[in-house]
Amino acid sequence: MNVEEFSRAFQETVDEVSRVLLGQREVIEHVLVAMLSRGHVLIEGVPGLGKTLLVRALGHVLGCTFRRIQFTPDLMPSDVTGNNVYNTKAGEFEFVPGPVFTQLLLADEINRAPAKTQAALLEAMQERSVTIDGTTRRLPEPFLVLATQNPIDSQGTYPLPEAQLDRFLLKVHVGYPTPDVERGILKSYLDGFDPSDLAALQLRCILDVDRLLAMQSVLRTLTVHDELLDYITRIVTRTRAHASVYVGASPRASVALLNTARAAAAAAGRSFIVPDDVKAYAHGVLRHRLILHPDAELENVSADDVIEGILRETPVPKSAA
Amino acid sequence: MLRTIDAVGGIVPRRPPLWGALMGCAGVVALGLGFAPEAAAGQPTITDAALWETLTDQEGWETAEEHAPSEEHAPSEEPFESAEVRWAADPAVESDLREIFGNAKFRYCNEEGYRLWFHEKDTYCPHADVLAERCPGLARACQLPAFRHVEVEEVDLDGSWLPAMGEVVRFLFWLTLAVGVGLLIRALVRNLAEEVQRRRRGADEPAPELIEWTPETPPPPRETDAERLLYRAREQAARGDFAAALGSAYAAALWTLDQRGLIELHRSRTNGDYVRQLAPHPQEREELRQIVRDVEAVQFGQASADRARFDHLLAHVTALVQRASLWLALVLLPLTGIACDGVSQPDPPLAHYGPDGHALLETLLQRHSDSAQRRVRRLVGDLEEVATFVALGPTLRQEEWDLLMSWVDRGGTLVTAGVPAPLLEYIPHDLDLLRCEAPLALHPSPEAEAPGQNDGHAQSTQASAPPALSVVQAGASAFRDFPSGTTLVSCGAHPFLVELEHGAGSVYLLADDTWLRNANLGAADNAQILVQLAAVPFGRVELLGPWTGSGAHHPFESIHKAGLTPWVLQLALLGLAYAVARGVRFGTPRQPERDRRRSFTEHAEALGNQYARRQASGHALEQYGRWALERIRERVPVRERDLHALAHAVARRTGGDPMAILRILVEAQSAGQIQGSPEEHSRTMESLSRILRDVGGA
Repeated sequence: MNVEEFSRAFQETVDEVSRVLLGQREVIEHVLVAMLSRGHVLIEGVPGLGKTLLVRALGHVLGCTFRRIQFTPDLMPSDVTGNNVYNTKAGEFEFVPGPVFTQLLLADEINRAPAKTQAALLEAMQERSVTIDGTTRRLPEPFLVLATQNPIDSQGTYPLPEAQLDRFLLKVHVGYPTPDVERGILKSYLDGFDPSDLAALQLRCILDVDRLLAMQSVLRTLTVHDELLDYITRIVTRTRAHASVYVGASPRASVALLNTARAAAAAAGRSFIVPDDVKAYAHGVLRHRLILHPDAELENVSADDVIEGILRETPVPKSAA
Repeated sequence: MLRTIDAVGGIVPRRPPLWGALMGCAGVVALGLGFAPEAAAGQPTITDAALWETLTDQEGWETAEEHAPSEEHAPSEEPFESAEVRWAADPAVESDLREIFGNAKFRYCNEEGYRLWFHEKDTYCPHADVLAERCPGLARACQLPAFRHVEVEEVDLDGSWLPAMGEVVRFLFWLTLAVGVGLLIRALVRNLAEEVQRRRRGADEPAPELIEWTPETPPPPRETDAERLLYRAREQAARGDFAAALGSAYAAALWTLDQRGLIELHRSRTNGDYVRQLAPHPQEREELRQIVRDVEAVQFGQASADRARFDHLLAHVTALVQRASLWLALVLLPLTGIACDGVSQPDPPLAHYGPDGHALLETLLQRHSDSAQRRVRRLVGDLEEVATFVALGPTLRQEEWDLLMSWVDRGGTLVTAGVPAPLLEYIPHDLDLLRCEAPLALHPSPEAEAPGQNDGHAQSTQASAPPALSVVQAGASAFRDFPSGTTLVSCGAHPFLVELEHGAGSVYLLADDTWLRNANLGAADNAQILVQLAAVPFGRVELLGPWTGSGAHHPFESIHKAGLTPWVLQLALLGLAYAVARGVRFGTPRQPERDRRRSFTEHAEALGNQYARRQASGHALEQYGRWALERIRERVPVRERDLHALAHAVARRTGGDPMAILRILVEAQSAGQIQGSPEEHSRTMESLSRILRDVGGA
């Protein structure tokens, strides 16, 4: 597969999912970029914006298996990873895989589960394997976790620790649709759209697992100019010296920024990345990795404000003229 | 000869074939309807052969000789050669006259109490009974005392640039100008010298490495002129340095768009940002997208910078830059057009509508011609688009007269009011003028009154031959004699209006230039005569006068005529010097100020502004008074809690009046209960602040 084929497949996938999820093209692109970059996505948005629908449609279009876990305070790690269960007939322990053994996993309201359960999932996200009773089991490829959290409801929640947040490649905000898009959603329901019956929509399966893996391998062939590495480094470094930031982005953030930029470049049909690719994903990559000073938060300074300021102050590599 | 005779007896201006054919048809129809009594009476008319000739005349230029019966050329027994014309009354002219004189702008016709100038009264009032037929106000104005004519001394601006300045101010002006020019020259020379030195050094030393522009290092000087950048790009491409050439060309595109205000250059913006900024301009966005694709492929990708890629990019960049130039030209062109308006209609002065003005002449010609305008531009080039010139005392150059008369020679028509001296070179006569008291007679006029039968007022003669048109003139001058011309109007035995053939064209000479002025032209049938002489229904009439030559052919002439040449030259010099010195456009892009947090003082100031807006001075005093009293108690400890003891303690430390201090402290303590004006509250706060400072605190 070459870059042109990559770009074509990417756009077709986005177009197909956009048939189901109206007005959220950017979110779809971000999720797909994260998947191609072998990363995971934390989606923040109020309920009812189609997060589950997105993952289901994506699984359908990508030809991947799909599972969903509703995180609750009493959810145990074994409910996520699976467990060894004694089989009375066989007289031995038999491993019953949990929902994590899938290719697309929707971890709904991840912050409602206690830290121990979250940690079990996060280990799977990072290592792409789970260890139970001393046995390590690999997760299927590709493996993408889309975790959601509600930004408003904080009662009875267990906020994700910063170290765990860092394991998410992107944090995506899902906003309300525009009035026109919302009207389109209503019309589609009037026309008989049923989100629980995606088969009725005749969504095409654009990719399969092999092609998805091939697309991931294309990213490694892209050219990355040294100036771009400097640019990424400057951006990430500045987060650590910013007056409003208590803890800046880690080197993992730099790698994440590079990977997403590569995927974005290939999606645009380029065999090289440009500063625009870096800027386009800087917010998504960095916003959940910054810990702001309390006084900055008191002044309603958000992580996005800080990132925007850094991007505005960081010179973009340009022509020498 | 410009005119021919139409079937109804009027003068037909020279016309293109279609018009000739139409008029020919009109004549035939008129004959059929019996509206040509002179035809029945054996007067000269167009014969069938002549009409056919008119209809088939491909040149569109006709002569009276070609159409008039041969007997009309027979020698006449009358004092003058008989005119080969028939004057016809046009009812439209009469209605036009009524309407035009009804215009309020003709104040002398319509306003009660309008007063004439002395010379107007002298010229027109002796004949007011004739001249005021359509303009009754003239008779009323003649009854009122006249204004005395005041000669206005013209200021010669050429000789005095600074007429209103005193000696000292003038000296300071020149001094300032000299110092400014000196500084400019100094800066220019210094900059050029530095440039020369830099080039010499550059030839000896290796090229310095490119300095990366980071916030920590000052930005290197940048070229921001698109044309220069393009020039540099071509130079670099010619040297084979295509990578640098691509960069220069791309910079030219960006600076062009920035200067057009379509994008805003900033060091943090990506190429994609610029493309997105161009969303409202799809054409430019597509051009830039193409450019960016080439540039980024070389800069960040594996593509090589070669001639083909450079040419591809240059085509797009050139399109962008040229579009900017086109915009500039589109903006400037209308201005240029305004500056170069050759034939314009400036708002005429009030005198234009007075008895001595030419408003009636202009209006009549406009109504009976395709267009009639004053010619402001000099007479140059091709005059073929003009059908008739009416000369009202123009001051033309010799070459303009040459051009005008050669135009007449080729078939043009010139009507002159009075005989300008330069015109005499082209007329083989010595034209003596004399004052003629006889009535004017329109020819052919077999029963013209004999000279000397005038009544001493307006010289008026009824042309006895049909149609009955009368010509009047207040205080007429006439030619002593005019052997070779055709007299159309005479004053007794002397020609007044003469038609002179000049090559294929005609010159109509009016002995008296006042005949075309409002007061005279509006009387009797003068307007009918004028329309038949000068108006061209499908032609253009231009009026030559003192205004001719005051217009400009190009912007530079316009500037010169406005006396702005020195200023524009200085501005151009200044711009040139600045461009040479800086090599950048005027103004340097500035970084926006960094966002910063508000300091405590700004918070306090904002709070104070809030109080001020709400006029809560009492509340502010109460808050401040409470705080200040606590600080004073801290710094001046007293055992008693009452203000009296505190005031005495403060007075002991500061040496102030204890009662005055006590009063201020009391006001501060009870500010919430005391009503007062903002000024009083402000004074109390200032006093408290002073006490606080005196006892050792800010």
